[in-house]
Amino acid sequence: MSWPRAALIVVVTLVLQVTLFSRFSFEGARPDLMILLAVMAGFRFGPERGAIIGFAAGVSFDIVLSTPLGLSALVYTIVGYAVGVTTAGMVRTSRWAASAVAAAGSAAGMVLYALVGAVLGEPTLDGPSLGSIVVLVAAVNAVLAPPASRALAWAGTDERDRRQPFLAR
Amino acid sequence: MAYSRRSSRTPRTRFTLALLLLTAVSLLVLDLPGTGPLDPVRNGLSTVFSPLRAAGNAVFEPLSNGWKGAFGYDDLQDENEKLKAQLEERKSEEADVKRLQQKVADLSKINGVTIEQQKTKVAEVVSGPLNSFEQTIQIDAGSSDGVKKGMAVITGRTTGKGGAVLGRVAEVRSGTSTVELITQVDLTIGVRTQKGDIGTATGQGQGKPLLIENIDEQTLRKGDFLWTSGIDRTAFPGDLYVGRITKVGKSVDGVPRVVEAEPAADLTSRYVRVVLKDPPK
Repeated sequence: MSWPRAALIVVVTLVLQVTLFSRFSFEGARPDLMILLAVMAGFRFGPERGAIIGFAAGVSFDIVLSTPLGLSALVYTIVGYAVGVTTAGMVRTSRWAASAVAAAGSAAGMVLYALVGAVLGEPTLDGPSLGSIVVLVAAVNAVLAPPASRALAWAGTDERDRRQPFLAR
Repeated sequence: MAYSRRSSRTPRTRFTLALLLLTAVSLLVLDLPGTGPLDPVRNGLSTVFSPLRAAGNAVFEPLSNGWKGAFGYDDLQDENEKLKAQLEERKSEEADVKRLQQKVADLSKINGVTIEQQKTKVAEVVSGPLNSFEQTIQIDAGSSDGVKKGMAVITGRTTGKGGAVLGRVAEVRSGTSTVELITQVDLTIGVRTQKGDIGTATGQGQGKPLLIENIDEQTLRKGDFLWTSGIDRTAFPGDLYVGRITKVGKSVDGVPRVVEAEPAADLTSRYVRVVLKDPPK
């Protein structure tokens, strides 16, 4: 695992989220690429690295959000870990596996975010309907799961097997 | 595609998870509303990130505009935003006439009272909510422009009168600020009707009307105008247009009637103004 590459992926994803994807909304719901990183890290690398990358994605998102610092970090850490644990015995040969996991993990993550936010007194259940948020984020992340998975594979590559082409991973 | 998986639920994995969760919870506790010891850290990191954000905006703004329209759309959008801002200001004129009628009637009884005039700073909205759960916007005016936390933000782009209450400054950095929208839950402002009754308006969430409370609802009628009350210790100066009452519920067994109002401000305005009046300490 190359942690500098993982950090670069987190920063690039954050820029994409803040400057591009947050501009598009449906019924007030907006895409969330940062949780996609947590989900795909758990799926590809298991619970430990899923939790670490989920935490990094969450805390970096927290810096630019107006919600309490640590809220996204807490939720994305749990999501990264949980995806790693639940998909540990999963057969990964299907080309749809990554998209299915991304959709399910993102949907669960949005529900968890809304609930934890509400417990902390944040108006997470008072904005757009949770249903529309879950559907939009799950759908967008299902589509973006393959490129996200490839990017994380690049970060997960050791120096020893760098000869493998990026797109073949 | 077959992936190599190294770890599962080992003691080390559990230790890592516990450490990360503890860190996240510690951050949450330290960042509780009103404490703010992490604000300088957050603002510093946000400033470090701002060049990347500016570069991203420069690259992706044409893309997002292209998503919405064809060639020349930028000009049309800019013209549309100007017209929307002017419309916002015109919308408040009708309300202002009502308010001034009442004010003249009051002033005829009291000598030496003048209507408060406030300086404003025109700003552009540079970013909307960044995820589905956020109800704030970012504007390109900050502490270097005299903006302070708690100041009122209204719509419009001229330096004259007009516009309606959009929200309140929640966070201030050197060149940008975060604004809480008037519809945000728990954001309460003091309001006054054209008859002079004073109460409060509280946000109930995005897309929902304002809840009007602490007022003699017997005197209220659907369509009544609301302005900021400007009473002592309120964050908002007086006489800013807030909205119109859209619902006055029926009183049942002495329970106060539910009164709701529609905010007058266009919450998607591209240009806004910060009212440069120091908020109460």
